[in-house]
Amino acid sequence: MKTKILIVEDDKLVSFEIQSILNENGFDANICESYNCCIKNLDTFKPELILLDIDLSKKYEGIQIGSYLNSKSKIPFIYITGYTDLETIKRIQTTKPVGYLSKPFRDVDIISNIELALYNKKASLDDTGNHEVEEDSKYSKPIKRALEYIDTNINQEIKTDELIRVSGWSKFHFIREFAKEVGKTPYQYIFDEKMKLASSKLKNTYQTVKEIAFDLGYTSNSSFTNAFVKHSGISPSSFRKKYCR
Amino acid sequence: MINNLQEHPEKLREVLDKTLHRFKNNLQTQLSLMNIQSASNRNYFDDRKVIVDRIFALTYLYDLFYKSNKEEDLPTDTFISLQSYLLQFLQYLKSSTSEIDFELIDTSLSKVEVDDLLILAYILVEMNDFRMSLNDRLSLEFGHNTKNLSLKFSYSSIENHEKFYNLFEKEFKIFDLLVKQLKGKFDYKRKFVRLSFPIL
Repeated sequence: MKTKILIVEDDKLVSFEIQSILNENGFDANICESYNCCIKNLDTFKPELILLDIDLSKKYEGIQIGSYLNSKSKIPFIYITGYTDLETIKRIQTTKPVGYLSKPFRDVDIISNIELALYNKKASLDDTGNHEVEEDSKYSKPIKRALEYIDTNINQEIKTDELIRVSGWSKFHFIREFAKEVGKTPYQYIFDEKMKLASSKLKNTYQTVKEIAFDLGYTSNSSFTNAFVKHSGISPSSFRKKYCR
Repeated sequence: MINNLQEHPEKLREVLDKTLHRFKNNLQTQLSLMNIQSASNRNYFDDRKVIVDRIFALTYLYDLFYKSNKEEDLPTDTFISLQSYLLQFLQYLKSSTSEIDFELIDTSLSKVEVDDLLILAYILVEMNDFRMSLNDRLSLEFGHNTKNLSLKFSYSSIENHEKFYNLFEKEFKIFDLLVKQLKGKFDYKRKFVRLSFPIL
């Protein structure tokens, strides 16, 4: 079966060119032009690697997708961009891409970057397989299921009842064991994870505070701001000013 | 702009970064067009002229873009005058043939995003190559309203332009991609083809 590559690029000439190069080299390539299309294709097309334009819609939307992929999926991605200034490179590094392709590029640059990324992915999966044995012993299976549930649903309101259901334990046993194994209560753990993701989005994307609040399952801007102040001691907009130019 | 940059040296870095980014993107587009040409087996009537014309499309565009910003404050947008650019570029195309007629109707106030204008120039280069392959005369009529720019084009030897696509089916890929990049659409009529795309 052909390796599936998703091209996320809003310049039709560039995306068509890359698709032609990939098809010629035996890959199955699909094109997306927007954040929403990319997220949808993660489930429908199931790419093994993503080529991502940074300046999507001229809003650095690519870094938002990179940030999303880094926190939500294990699909490796390579940025494509004409930006080679240190500041942009520093920003994109925080989203942990597996590669960086600078425009203008040649066929051989694309193919060698992809081959290297796929090779590294395979090597890291082999490595993860070995680590999973250790991870298994760190958490019991019910707690591991609850943590996976939190990770998958971090952008929604997560209710403790759901975690209890997923774990298969009784309410008091689950809460006691969760605190023992993870070191904090389920509520505190979810709260910390959401704030970690919010900090990353504030630093690395141009999403508005309102959009970030909505992405994290908060129904209002003020409840998110209050939560963020409680966690970080400053408001989301002050945090962004402090850490971004 | 020069005085402004002297007063705000930090802005100079920003302008240089943006210029470098723009420069690389434009080089990428030129490479993409050449690679799509070979991937889609596009045979131009005159390959060399097409490449030279694209280079001049770029040259005139940036001449105008940087000149128009020279005496102003730092550029706050990336729009330039449609009429000024088209007059220059169409005169350039006409300098090697007398077989192009054009009309600019009420485009004096219209401003178009610099990247879109470059794509429009590449479309004109494609049209001119079609013209040469037909050994024909090309008529162009530009007009606009508040939201859209329209370009009516016709070739004197084609009686029915509703069949324009069939006539150039094999050569159509790059032309079509350029129009899609502008979010534009074709409207095939008997006497002309209308290409319209959104501006502002």
